[in-house]
Amino acid sequence: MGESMQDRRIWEHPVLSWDRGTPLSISYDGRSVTAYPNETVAAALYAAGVLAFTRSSYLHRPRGPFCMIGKCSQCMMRVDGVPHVRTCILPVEDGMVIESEDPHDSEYPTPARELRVERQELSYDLAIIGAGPAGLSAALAAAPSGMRIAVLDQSPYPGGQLVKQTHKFFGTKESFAGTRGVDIARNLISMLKEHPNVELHTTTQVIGYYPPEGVLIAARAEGVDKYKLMYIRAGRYLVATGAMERTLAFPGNDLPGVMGAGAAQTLMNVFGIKPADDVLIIGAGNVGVIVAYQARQAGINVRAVIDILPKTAAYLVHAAKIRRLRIPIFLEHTIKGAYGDGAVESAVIYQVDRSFRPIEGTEKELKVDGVWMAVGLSPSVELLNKMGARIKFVPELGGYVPYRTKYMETSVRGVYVAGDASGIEEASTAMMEGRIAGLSAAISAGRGTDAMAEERRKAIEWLDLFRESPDYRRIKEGVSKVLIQEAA
Amino acid sequence: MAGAEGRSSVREQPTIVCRCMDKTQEDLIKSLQMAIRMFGPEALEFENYRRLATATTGFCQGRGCLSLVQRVFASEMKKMGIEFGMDEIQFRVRSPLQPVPLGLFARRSLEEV
Ligand SMILES: Cc1cc2nc3c(=O)[nH]c(=O)nc-3n(C[C@H](O)[C@H](O)[C@H](O)COP(=O)(O)OP(=O)(O)OC[C@H]3O[C@@H](n4cnc5c(N)ncnc54)[C@H](O)[C@@H]3O)c2cc1C
Repeated sequence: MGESMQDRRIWEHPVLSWDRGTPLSISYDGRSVTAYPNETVAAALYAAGVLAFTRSSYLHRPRGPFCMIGKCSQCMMRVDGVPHVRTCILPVEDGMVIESEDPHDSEYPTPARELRVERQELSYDLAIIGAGPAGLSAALAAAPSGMRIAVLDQSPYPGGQLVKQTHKFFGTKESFAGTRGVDIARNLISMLKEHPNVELHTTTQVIGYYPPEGVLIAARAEGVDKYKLMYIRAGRYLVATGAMERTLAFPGNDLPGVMGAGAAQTLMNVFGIKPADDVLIIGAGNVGVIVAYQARQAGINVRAVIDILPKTAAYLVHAAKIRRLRIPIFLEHTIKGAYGDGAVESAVIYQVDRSFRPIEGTEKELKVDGVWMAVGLSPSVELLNKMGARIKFVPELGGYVPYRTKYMETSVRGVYVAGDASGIEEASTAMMEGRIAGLSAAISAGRGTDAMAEERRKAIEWLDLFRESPDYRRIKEGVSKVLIQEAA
Repeated sequence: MAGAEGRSSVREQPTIVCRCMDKTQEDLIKSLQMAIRMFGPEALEFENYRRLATATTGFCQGRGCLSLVQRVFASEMKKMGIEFGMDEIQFRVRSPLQPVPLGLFARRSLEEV
């Protein structure tokens, strides 16, 4: 009501800069909000200090985005009269009218505009779902076969999780050590553009798959009221849908301000927006400590990084970096609750004993407006499940994952998997699995060359070797539980 | 900005397991007791439970909460001496996998019918 909106954008940063372009204007519940052309609606609203996007269906609790990558559905709003639009993957347009929805409203949703839907029947030799490192590498590897390839991603910008990783990767040369994740993504995309037989469709969500004849249905959004409904028949399918960040069960875990560490990373690094001023990070693995470091770069006060385990699982280099910044790491600690009126205002942490039971009297209250969850990811296997792939629970790989051959083919012939969707690991292995799956799709279709077979042999060898190192033993063990033995 | 009604006190916050269907930890335990009465502890499968509790069946299709819901299920069943192996997925998710407007699949608008 008349109050002016904040600007949470970061205008000075030690390593990043954002080419924002000319500001435009959108309206949010009757107020005018400044946005920039590269932003999504959710990013622009967050920048203006809007934390609560919607109300929950039964308890009527205020809710805000948790994942920022189109998976959690907590950012849905009415846009230009169209109800339930996921604003985190919707690019802003000048003059857009955004309204928060209230499920307790008596008014039923009536789209102000008629949807314009164009139906397309398409066929490809290979359809790849997900344009993260796995999907992009798969397309690149299969491209020389000349197959007609479509890569589909619901996000407006391709690159998956890589686009928010502004730190330099380490590892071996094959795994792009020394390069920032965001630059790896840029490289993959520009290399892909040189292949006229590969189409990259962004803002295209895969919404279903219908056996027996096998039709993949995707909706390409061109604004909120214009869609291309794609009926895709492909000789081979490759699922590289990535993963979704997990949360924990604690009081107040749904308050606006509680979000995935990756979501916070998206706001900070992709859009240059401060998600909070003071933050508690839960999980001191690689993700937790990297995000803590990046938060500090963004000018955010990291009050603590906590982990329930007695030692951090993060690479020493990363952990040392945040210790040097004097960011407190509390091990054997967990969160008791997040509290606040409409959004997080504070959090209480406490110590746990050897069997992870909280120790009374060790509570510490932290004044924070952000609680970021870095407690692992769950592979996104919904599509694979729909396609009929056999799926097994493998804790070492982060949850439910599909059975696969060493060529990354699932239990369903012609359906391949790669990257986090096949088990939570990292970008380097996602790219290698993508390569193996892409090559295998081509080879199995009779479109491979000797060079491709040789490349695949090398990629498999690299992956096996990589997983021999002590850090990846667990992964190796996990993979062995879902490996389909098969005569080549 | 947050409306006054429906607001729990700052200190008393529910523990939400499934955000989309708004299910708290207590809700999940209550529906488990109901499910056990309906199916019997031995015959109860996770899929029956999931449908009854409605957790995991909202907009996000369980992407966010499946593992938490399973943990509640497994630990409550364990209290009754029943080991729940989260081995192979026994259910199929439904299309649409992502929330899209219904109008995408409608041929004509109401006025035209
Ligand atoms: C904070 C953080 C730091 C990390 N640091 C490192 C590091 O230093 N080194 C390293 O090697 N790895 C790192 N990783 C891990 C790495 O980012 C991931 O392992 C990798 O991105 C997985 O690649 P992917 O292609 O399988 O999935 P993603 O990158 O998640 O891509 C999946 C894509 O699929 C799309 N998608 C999903 N469902 C659908 C659908 N139904 N329809 C259309 N599109 C869909 C998504 O929009 C997304 O673009 C880090 C991860 C995080 C979160």
